[in-house]
Amino acid sequence: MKVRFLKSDSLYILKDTIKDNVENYFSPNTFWIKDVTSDNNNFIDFKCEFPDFDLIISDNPEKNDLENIKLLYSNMQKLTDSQASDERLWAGLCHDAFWEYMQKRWPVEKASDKIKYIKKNYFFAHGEKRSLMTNGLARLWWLGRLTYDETNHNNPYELTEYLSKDFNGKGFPLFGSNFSNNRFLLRCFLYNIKLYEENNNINLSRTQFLEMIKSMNMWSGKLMIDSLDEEILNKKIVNRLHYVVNNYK
Amino acid sequence: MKIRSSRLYSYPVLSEMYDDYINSNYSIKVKAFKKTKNLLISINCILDNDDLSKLIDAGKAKIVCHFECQKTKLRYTKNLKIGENNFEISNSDINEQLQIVSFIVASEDIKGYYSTSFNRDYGTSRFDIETGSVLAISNQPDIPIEKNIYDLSNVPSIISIVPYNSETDHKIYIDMDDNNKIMVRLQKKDYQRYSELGRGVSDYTPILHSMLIIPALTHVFEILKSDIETFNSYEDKRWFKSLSKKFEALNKKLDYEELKNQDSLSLAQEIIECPIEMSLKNLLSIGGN
Repeated sequence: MKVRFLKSDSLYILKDTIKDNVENYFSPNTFWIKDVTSDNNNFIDFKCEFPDFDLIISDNPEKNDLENIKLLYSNMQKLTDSQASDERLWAGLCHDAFWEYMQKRWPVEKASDKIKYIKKNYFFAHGEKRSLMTNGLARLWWLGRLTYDETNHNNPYELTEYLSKDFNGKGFPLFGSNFSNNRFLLRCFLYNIKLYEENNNINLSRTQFLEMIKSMNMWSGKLMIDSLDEEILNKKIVNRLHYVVNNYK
Repeated sequence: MKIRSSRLYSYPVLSEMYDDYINSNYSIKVKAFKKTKNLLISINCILDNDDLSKLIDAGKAKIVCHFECQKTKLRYTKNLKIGENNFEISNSDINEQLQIVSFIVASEDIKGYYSTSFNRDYGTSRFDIETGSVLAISNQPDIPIEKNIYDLSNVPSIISIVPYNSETDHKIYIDMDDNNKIMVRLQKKDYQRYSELGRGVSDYTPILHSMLIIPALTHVFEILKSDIETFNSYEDKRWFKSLSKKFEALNKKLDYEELKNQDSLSLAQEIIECPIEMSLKNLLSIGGN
């Protein structure tokens, strides 16, 4: 699959003129881009190729998020983190190879503030860090990147599958917390919660899950939790889980 | 990770941000060398406090270094030793900035911790320290990492010409607030004409540079030298760093004091390699002379 990214100038023009182009986001193709930029060459070929693949497009597209995370991440796993934090790449894919997917998954016509909606889902609307979780395609790749566990030989997507039950209520607050950038902390946190839920036949409510995130943030203020031994960290998390489950609904 | 002085601990912590210790120091000196694929980082770790040194020697405390790049969601720690430490980080894991901070942390629970170098305000107080607690915080240098311009295969320029909508207004507007580029805004129809003329590199290129880029850069320099606060507020932007490199290539320094003493128009022409001569020649040849 040939991946193309947007030229910097084309990206700036498209982003800068969203309010004049809202109607174009209902169009079945992106031929309109060249009229907006007055340039026939808005895309540049990415320097390496990827396997051919399509994302699943259905009438209930959010139900396919998990499969699409696996599809996008597994097929584009060789992207480096630096490349995958570049707006030109994701905005390019949103306006090119995955235009149809984007229209189905992030339909502009349903949005109340269409300009904001386009900016958020088709471009990077916030700081780069947050935008990785809000752009319609970057979020799929980064959810895969952060939850894929190459050391889990039975199922490297175990944590992805776990979080896919509630990406909005649990996944996004989790990835908004700085500690989640440390794979060691993230994996300890999620495996412990998952195991605790399985052992006690419960599912943490959003409130309880958020309380656990708060605890990790609170410990980070006092301790260097990144440097704790795994055994000590596991114990802290499990003790706290016990408290949270018994004191929060 | 950035530790601010507003973060307070319930026990003394050795750091240049606090006065909890006297006649003591914990700091790191960081050197970074960018190679083709990796960033080589050399960290010299300096501790001047006998009580903390003893804790480290006894295995009750350890030195860790925390690396973080917010943009690529990279965050991890490595153990350090006093003196020289060397690490390599893949360039592809970092984008723009690597934050480094080192800590001395308790490796086990420490009962009744006391240092003779505690600030006198602490008297003879002793403290029970929990495993993982921070005992010392180093200075916090940032390592700027210039994004590999060929990361995706593109070549950057610091200025983008973009259209704006207006029926009557045909002025040029300069926008310096974007992180990546200086935006030169043209009325939509003017922009289309510009695009038609400026596609690829043509005889029109130096003429367009003279008309648009030179006034834009002149304006930018005027804004930058208006006052030091304004100058500092743009320093972190990518276009500023690229401009700074261009200055270096011309054996100049993009520095407030130096900028103040330079003529903005003259400087803009130097940066764009004086297109006036070529513009006039091309105009003559386009006109058929």
